[in-house]
Amino acid sequence: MKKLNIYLVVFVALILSACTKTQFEEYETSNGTADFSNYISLGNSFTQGLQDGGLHNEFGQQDNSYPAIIARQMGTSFVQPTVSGTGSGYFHLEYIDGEIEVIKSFDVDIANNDPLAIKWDPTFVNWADTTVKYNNLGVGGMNVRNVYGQNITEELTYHVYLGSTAPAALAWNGVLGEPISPYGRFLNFGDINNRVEYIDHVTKSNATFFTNWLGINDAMSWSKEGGDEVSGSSLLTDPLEFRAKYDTVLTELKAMGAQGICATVHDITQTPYFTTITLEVLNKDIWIKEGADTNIIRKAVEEDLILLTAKDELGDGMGVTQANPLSHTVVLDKDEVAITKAYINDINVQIRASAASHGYAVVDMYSFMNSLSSGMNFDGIALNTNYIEGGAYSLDGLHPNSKGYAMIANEFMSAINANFGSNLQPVSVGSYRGITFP
Amino acid sequence: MRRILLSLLLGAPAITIAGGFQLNLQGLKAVAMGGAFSGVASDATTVFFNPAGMSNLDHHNFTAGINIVDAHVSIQTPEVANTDQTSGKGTPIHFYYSGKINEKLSLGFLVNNQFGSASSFDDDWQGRYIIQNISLKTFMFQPTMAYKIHDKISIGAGFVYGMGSFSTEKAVPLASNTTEEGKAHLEGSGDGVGYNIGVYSQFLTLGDDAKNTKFAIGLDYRSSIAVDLGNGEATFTNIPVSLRDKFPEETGFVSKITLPSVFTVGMSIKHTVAEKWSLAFAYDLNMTGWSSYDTLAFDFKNNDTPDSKQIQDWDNVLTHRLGFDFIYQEKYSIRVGLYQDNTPMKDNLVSPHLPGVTQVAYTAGLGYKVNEKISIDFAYIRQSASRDDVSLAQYKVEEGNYVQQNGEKVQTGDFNYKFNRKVNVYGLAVNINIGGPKKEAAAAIE
Repeated sequence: MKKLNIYLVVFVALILSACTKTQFEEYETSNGTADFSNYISLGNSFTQGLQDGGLHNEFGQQDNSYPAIIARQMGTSFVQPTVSGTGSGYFHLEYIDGEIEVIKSFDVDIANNDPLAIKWDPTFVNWADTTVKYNNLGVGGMNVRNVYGQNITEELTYHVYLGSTAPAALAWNGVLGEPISPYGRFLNFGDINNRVEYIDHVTKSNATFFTNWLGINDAMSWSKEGGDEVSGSSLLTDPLEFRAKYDTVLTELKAMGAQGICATVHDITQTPYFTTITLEVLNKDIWIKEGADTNIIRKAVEEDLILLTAKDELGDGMGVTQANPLSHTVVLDKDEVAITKAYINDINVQIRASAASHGYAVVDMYSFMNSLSSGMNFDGIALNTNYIEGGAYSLDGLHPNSKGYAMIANEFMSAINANFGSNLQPVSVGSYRGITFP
Repeated sequence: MRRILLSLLLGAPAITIAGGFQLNLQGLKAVAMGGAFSGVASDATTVFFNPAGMSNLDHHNFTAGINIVDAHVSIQTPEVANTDQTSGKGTPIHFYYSGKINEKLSLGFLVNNQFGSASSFDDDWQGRYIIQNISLKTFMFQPTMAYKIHDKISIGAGFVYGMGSFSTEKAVPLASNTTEEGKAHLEGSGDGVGYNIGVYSQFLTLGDDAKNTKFAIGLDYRSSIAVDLGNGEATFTNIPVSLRDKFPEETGFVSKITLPSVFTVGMSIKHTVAEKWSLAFAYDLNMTGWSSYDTLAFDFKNNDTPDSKQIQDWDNVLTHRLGFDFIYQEKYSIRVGLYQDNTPMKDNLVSPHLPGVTQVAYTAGLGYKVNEKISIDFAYIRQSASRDDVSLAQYKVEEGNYVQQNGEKVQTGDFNYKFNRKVNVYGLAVNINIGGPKKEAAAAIE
């Protein structure tokens, strides 16, 4: 009987310890009704993977652009014009005399660059092979306005080049066909007599699937320079023009049989570029100059957004007296804030209407990015829109860092899954890089 | 204005020590019978389950036991199909003595591990910012006395001295040019005191010596024990140079863990046919005061290190325990039981290192009486549980990422997952009874 007991115990123990399998099955990914075999992404710097005020890839920043993350989850090949070395140059942090300081990238237009400023890499000048067909068609500075010229005047004034108001001849960099925005160098824009438009690259892509997050710059390029109601450098794109060009993009995509999804424009005035320097932080009266065409100098109120770019002027003692106010270019005054917000709502209406009329779904990046302002958690990490410590935005305060882009990729994929019955797995946001501290 | 003001917490090490970390393994007869014992009091383990039950025991009784806890937990998130906990096996022990001094008075002592948990994950697992590994160990020491105040009623009380130690690690999401992320390691130990009181009554016996049925009830209350961790040590590694003032290589911390009180009402019925067999039924109802575990806070001695505070907000739980013990010829014993294991954790505050679930667990065991002096018990527990509904197990508080606690913003995590959990517990104990009158021993040998 004693032996029997022991055998019984051993027997039972063996049986039971075998029953300890707890592992879950691996996920099976499926494309649903979508064809991801040739995925292209349309957009601007956000799509290109720009962060810290530049295009760089030393820790895979560009490799982890949101469309690149989406493509990896799709299991499809995705060609990006990746930079090498220091890329275009970028903002970074230094630890100086016990303080963490933001060092802006080297700017060829100014004389007093910080000696620690990171300059563009020599390879960046001839950065990418324009004969290669790229999947990531995100171009820093790209407006919907720039997609193509509706007439010869548009083509020759500001539609044939990207992101500047320089005269057309300059925009074309002489006859070399070089777009003013260096971030478009990877695409062939022809020359001044044989112009190639951005939309031509879309048309010849033969895409089977696309994501389209164009539109941000149509609002941002105006407001990030402090806005200007009358004679600003880059005007808010007229909503009707915006709609016409957006329609054309989708019509082209429809014509090639591409499936895809469009994204609304988020409220850029809620990003750290606009929200970091506040009167509360400065804790004193600040004098500002309203738009370029007014001579109104007044005390800033809470609704005026002092831009991150005001840092240098404030450092030089500007803004504290009526005689020496902050420049209008470093403040988005309260009227301009209202204009920007209303404009974003306007073009989002256009984006939704355009997408609907072409049978395309929309991912609501406006709402998603808004929820980041109140804070979100991923993998136990709290992210919000605070500058640097918020963890989601890069040092330029406008563009997300890799964690932010991963979070955006997940939102795109969730919308894609909802619309195409696919099963793209979200990525773990925590495993993407945030701020690089000194 | 070039300076960045790091005004908010940068990845504060909020740490959960948690998850029903009570070890209900303090006696193997009890374990085999679903954990019901406060109305049984048939061996020295009653020092723990119900000190008053010591009056029930004759002579000098010793019990020494060990359990092997073999837990397997797998976690699934929307992002990662499967992550296994890498925790090793736990081996809680117990030792009891109960001795009868005279007809009225009994004295006893215990050493055991009433609370504990150990779990770990691979270094690169997705939830490493929540928890990487954790180990909590406690030792309790309890000198005890019982007094028979009436023919049918006894009372007992013990003073409890508890020692606790823990260590834990989590990743800190701060990168530099040369490091991917930092790591926080916290360890500390401390002690606290409490008490254990009980009442036991074998109030009714039906039948005669040859064939009888006995009814007994027991009440027991074990107080909570606040373990002060006054001299904790925190080390932060792989922290970017510029943030070392916030996360220094070494700093101290202060914390406190309150081990919960347990109130038990129990009963037993034992039917005996002399020299043939007996069958006992036992039932206990536990009320565990987990609501004492509402917040876990770490106050770091380094002023710049953001203090960590995490809401636990556990609930008190009721546990039903019942079991049967069939004894053949006073020598062989077969026991079975079950208990309903209720999780004290709120659905949205479940940490992945010890995920809780309300479940019914099954127990079984064998007893063998070698001779009048020595007997051996084996026990086994099987738990198998899953939670598939992601929303049930989210690590999140409703309103955003912060909750207000006493007017302060407290950081929480957000982690949605499913889990499978299977636990096997194997126990072995030896009971020794010595010092009985010689004639009784002689009679038994015959």
